[in-house]
Amino acid sequence: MGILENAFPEYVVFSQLDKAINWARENSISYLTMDLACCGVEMAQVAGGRFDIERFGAVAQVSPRHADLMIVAGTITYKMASRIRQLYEQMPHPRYVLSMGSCSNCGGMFSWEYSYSAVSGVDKLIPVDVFVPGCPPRPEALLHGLITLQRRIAGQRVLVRDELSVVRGANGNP
Amino acid sequence: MSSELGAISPLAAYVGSFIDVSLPAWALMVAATAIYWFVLLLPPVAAMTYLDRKVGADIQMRIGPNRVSAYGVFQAVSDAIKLFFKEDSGPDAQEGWLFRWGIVAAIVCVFTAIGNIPMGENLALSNLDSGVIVVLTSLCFSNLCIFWAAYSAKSQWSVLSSFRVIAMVTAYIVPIAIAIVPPILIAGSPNLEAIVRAQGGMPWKWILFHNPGTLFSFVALFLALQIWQARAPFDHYRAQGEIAGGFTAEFSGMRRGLITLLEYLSLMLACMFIVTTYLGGWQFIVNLESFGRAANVVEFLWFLFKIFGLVFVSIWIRWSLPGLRADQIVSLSWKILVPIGLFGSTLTAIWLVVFKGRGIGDFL
Ligand code: SF4
Repeated sequence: MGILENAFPEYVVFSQLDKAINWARENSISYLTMDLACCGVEMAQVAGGRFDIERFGAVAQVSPRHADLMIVAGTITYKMASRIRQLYEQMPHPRYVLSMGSCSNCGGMFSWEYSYSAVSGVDKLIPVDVFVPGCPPRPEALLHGLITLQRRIAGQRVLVRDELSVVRGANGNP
Repeated sequence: MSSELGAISPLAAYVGSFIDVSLPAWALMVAATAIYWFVLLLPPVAAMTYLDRKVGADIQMRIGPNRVSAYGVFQAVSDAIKLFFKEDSGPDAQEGWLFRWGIVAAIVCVFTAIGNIPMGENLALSNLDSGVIVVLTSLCFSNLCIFWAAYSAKSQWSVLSSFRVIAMVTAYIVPIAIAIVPPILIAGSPNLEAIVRAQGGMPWKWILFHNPGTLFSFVALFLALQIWQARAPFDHYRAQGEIAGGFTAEFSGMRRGLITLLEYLSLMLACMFIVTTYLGGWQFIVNLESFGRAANVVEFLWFLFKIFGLVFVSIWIRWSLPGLRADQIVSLSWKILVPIGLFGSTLTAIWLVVFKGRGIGDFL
């Protein structure tokens, strides 16, 4: 997935460095805001005083090259699809995607049965790590999605090889 | 030899005075640079990143980072490790080494300026008679390096940002150059050590309160240095909402971390420069001669205390005022800062002639 995986020859064995790397990655997630429709408003208030996503070390970024996480919030029209793909490809490894709301999970009320202009789910374009259901999800649900992603990151293998690793965290290894 | 070295680099001579064996001058210089960078400079800079996030969160009625450790103190460590292990990507059209080393060159410029500023009696990396001039030159060159890095990234945000950087150089350097005249006149030398010696520990001995004119030039210098740092509300060449972070937009991984380091080193430099020229530098309120070597620690902490007072004002400005446009910043500096700086310098010159070099503090 990232650049560190398999970067070293096989006789180099790591055991604990993963924990430090994963600790840093889960606690400072910079997110790229893709607010495409109504869900974007809910995502905006997660950075405000009441919910304060910065408690988890997460900061909003506007440049994809600064971002670790892309939060796709809203309806994905066909015109926007190529932009999302391009922005995702500009993000440096390791990169994660959180899909927020029914529209970007599966198309929601703009799914292919009802709409001619919207993509039915962002997972048709880019790999998604966490889906947050709701139309729109409450900011608490988005925070829960972020915590779920942190658990996933904590269980990741970075430098430890498969046969040596112990999978930890509720969701195991991606 | 020690006194010769002390004239060039007080800190190197001071480090040499701690060890019995006599080392060559270059070894002492290397040791002094390492101590200066890692002991005196980086801890306050790291504290500034934390303070900026926490005080900023407080101003917006948020809590700020608190999950990493108690009160989120180690948030900066976590950010640094994450950036270190992140991929270093960039635009395809980037102009090779200019893009890759521009930010490093800017950091070198800022550090060159910082090294001239004494943090305590012997805690200056170099002691040049042209100290103020070197600092002013480094301010300009650091922005030139940012211009290189921005222009060679060749993306539309960075190129727009590079034009704005050059517009900013015309905005801040003239007010700074004018506002720095009163301390030079009062101390009779552009040597920063001499400027500190011309002041005293008590506030009424500071150049800030030397005469009514210095108050004006202090305001001009403070605002012009805010413009140089490009912190909000003067952040128009690295504005997030407008041009996607400007020159920072194409940097990722550790180079992005270096930009953050540059930002807070600039804040440190600006505050150090103002404290040294207007707020009494490292001089403590009472005479510390009986303290021996512990005096250096007290002076350094007192100096940091004043710096963090100014840092707090910068953070306060940053999080509470809306951003300005390029033309608004340029007209602020040319129509307001330059006139009040000129007024302050002229008044100081007249005052020095009329009162034979004495300040308000000397009459008390
Ligand atoms: S999921 Fe609902 S709230 Fe979110 S973008 Fe779609 S329609 Fe709007």
